[in-house]
Amino acid sequence: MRLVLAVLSLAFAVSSAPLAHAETATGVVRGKVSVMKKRLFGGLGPSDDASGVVVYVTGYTAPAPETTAVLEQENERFQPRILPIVAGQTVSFPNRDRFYHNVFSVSSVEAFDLGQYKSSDPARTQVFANPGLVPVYCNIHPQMISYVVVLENGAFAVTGEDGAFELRGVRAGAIALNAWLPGAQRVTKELELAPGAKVSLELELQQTQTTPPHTRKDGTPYPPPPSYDGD
Amino acid sequence: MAVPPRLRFRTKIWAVLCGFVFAALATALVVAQDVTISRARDESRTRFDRTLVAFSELQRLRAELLVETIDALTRTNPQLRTILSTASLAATDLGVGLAPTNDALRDANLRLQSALPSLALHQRQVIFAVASAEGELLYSKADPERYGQDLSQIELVRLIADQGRGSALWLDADAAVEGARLAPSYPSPALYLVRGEPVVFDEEVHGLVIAGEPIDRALLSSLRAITGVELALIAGPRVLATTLSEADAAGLRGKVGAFEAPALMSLGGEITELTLGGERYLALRAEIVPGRPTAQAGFILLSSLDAALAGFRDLRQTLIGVGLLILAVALGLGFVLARGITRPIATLAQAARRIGAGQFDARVAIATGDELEELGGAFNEMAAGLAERELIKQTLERYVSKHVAAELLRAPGQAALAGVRRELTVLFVDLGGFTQLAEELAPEAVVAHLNEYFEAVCGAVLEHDGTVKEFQGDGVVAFWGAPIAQPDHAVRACRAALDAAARLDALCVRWTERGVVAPSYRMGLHTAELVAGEIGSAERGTYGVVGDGMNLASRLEGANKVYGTRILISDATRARAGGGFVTRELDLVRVVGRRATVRIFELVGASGGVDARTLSVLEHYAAALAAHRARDWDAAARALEALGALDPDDAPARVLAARGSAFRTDPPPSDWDGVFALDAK
Repeated sequence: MRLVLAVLSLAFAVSSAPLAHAETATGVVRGKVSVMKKRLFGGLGPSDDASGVVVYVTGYTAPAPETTAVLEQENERFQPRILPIVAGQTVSFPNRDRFYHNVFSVSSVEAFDLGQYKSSDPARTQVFANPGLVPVYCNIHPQMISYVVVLENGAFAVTGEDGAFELRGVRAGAIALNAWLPGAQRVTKELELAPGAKVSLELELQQTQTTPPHTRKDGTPYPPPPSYDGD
Repeated sequence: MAVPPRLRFRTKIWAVLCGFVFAALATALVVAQDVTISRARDESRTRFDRTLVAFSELQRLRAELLVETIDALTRTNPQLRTILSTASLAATDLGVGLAPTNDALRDANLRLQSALPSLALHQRQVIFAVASAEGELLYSKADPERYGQDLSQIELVRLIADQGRGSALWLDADAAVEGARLAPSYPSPALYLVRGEPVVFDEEVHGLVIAGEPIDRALLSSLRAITGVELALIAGPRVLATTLSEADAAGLRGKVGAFEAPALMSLGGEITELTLGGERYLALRAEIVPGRPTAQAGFILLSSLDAALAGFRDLRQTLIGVGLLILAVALGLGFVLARGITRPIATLAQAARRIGAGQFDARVAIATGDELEELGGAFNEMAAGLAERELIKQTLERYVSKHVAAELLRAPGQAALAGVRRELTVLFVDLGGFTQLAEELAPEAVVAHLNEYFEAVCGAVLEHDGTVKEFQGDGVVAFWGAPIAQPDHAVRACRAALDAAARLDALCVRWTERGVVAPSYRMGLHTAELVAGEIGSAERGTYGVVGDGMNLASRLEGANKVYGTRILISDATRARAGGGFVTRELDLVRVVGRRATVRIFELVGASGGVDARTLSVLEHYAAALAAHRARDWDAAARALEALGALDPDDAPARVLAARGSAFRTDPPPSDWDGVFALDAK
């Protein structure tokens, strides 16, 4: 089954590649993403923080840029946490901490292990050939989690707090605009982008998975519960 | 004669002592037992409460440890994080690349199978399951090969999603989802306390860990070690785990149904009593999780009542021992006490019987120094008094009626023995023609007949409570009104005279039948002021009466010869006797040597005891007497003639007729006052 899918997608990629070269007319898609988060009481409500949403276009593939994307390891964190790239692009993982880190993934999209290295070692790199979500971890520090979002083309952006985005150089034609945030269901909007057009769109993301009230994030001890059943 | 008593005094004392000691002992035992049981209940409740608190605390600590361990595990184990996070993200559809498949879950399961078994937490917990953030089962210790099952509908998982943590009580059936077991399939059912924790990094849930341990014998035993309370974990009719022995647990199984599911507040449950294998227990049904009652499962806490009563049993033995000792001492003392009382009493009883048998010389010697000795003294005095009185009584009864004698003895103060002047009625009785009888009969027969006569007369006198003063030849003198005052002495005397007449009449009939010439008899009664008293010398005396009236009574007795009558009474007696008698006025007489005249009457009978003919006779006689006194001799003669037609034998009528005919020929002087001089004695 997987094999069949892989072959199909490969066929699609191969067949669409000449088209990309033939058609070079582009447009601009801009807009704003609002995030609906679950409130402690009641239903969903708009969140003030709409940062970290990956807005990207599907519907065509584009070759990976020559540039190397960078995912730094600093203060026992991956920086940035979400890194959108184009399939085939190389990502460099420099270690900015003075101690060892490790970079690996067991994802079915791209499983790799760069081994352990320190900051004085040259930054190791990995080519992400297949599109998909690749969670990347450090096998020394459990809290180090990052998401490499491998996309089909370079028409993508990561929102700031206001949720605004602007995608330039989007190939004209039938495309789909997507927005995704870890813990939320992807939203998608299909549109016909005319060459040279500037389209403005509003998207609303609903965070389906809520973070339970989980203490101990800061490492402080739990307050003693009133009874052993955790009230 | 000495009838043995039905119930000995000694037995009674013993019975009372025994009863008292037993009652005291029983009361003490009952009270002690009550107090002990009540205290055992209180103590048991405290220990039950402590056990539940200890269980709570133990579970809290276990839960806390579990949380810490899971937290530490997720925080320190990048492998677990990686597997959970990767599996959770595998379902994410970005719309690029390949569509999500189950391969990621299988991969996660395989990775977990290789990574988890070496963890201490995994080894320790019986239930250990891992799920993705979406609630898909990734690994279960009880069923390691299964994955992908949806756990999100399990209440515990919902709790974790809502509250960030959760705990639950799982019976075996609860510890399974479609297609996978979360708890091992033990041969015997078990109850698990399960806890779940999410794996969270940077406010993102990457999965969850569920771990749990059964509430087993080991846990209950550790609780018992703390509070000494036996525990049984029950679910429905089953006993899942218990600190009790196999046999007791089997016994408890049959009784689980008797326990009501507790109310919301388990600590307020009712303590009941039950017996297991011959040992009594106080028992309480309690919830496993306070405030979360479940009809399915619960604890039964048991505290041995017998063990609590062990101290009481020692006390009971001591009490019984002491009680028996007291009883023995009391019985000994009772015996001595009873002897001290019963022996003098037996002596007294014996002496009393002798006195009852007439042996008035019976005396007792009791020297106990208490009331019994006093009683003995009083008894002796009584015996002496009885002897004295018996002597007096015997003497008295010969002269006075038993009635009077008893009266005298009863109230000696009323008796005028020392001499008193008082109105009395005197009776003189004499037998006519007895001298002739004495000549005809042999001396023995004379005495016998004389005694029969005296018997009749004295019998009548004593019958009417008179006192026989003396016997004068064939005469008898009796009186009434002394020594006991008798206000109706004249009535009694008249009745006695009539009674004596009747007896003598009957006697005459018997004598005539015997061929003995029946004697006649005469009686005279007079009432006068007389002196009564003990008369005579110190050695020999008699209770008698003296006075002028005695003489008149004697004359009246003699006057019967003049009138041919049998009983004559003076007007004084007639006035005193009242209307209860029928009398006939006979005459007005002057006794020789006395100036005063006396009206004399014949005592005919008691009112109502006289027939109509006699009454007519008396009427005619009264008319004749009145005419005679008025010197109308003819009228008197006519009245007497009419009388004679009724009763030709009436002697007074004949006497009056003779006097009338004599006066007719030789009239009395003009100053005749109708008084007849009674000269003959």
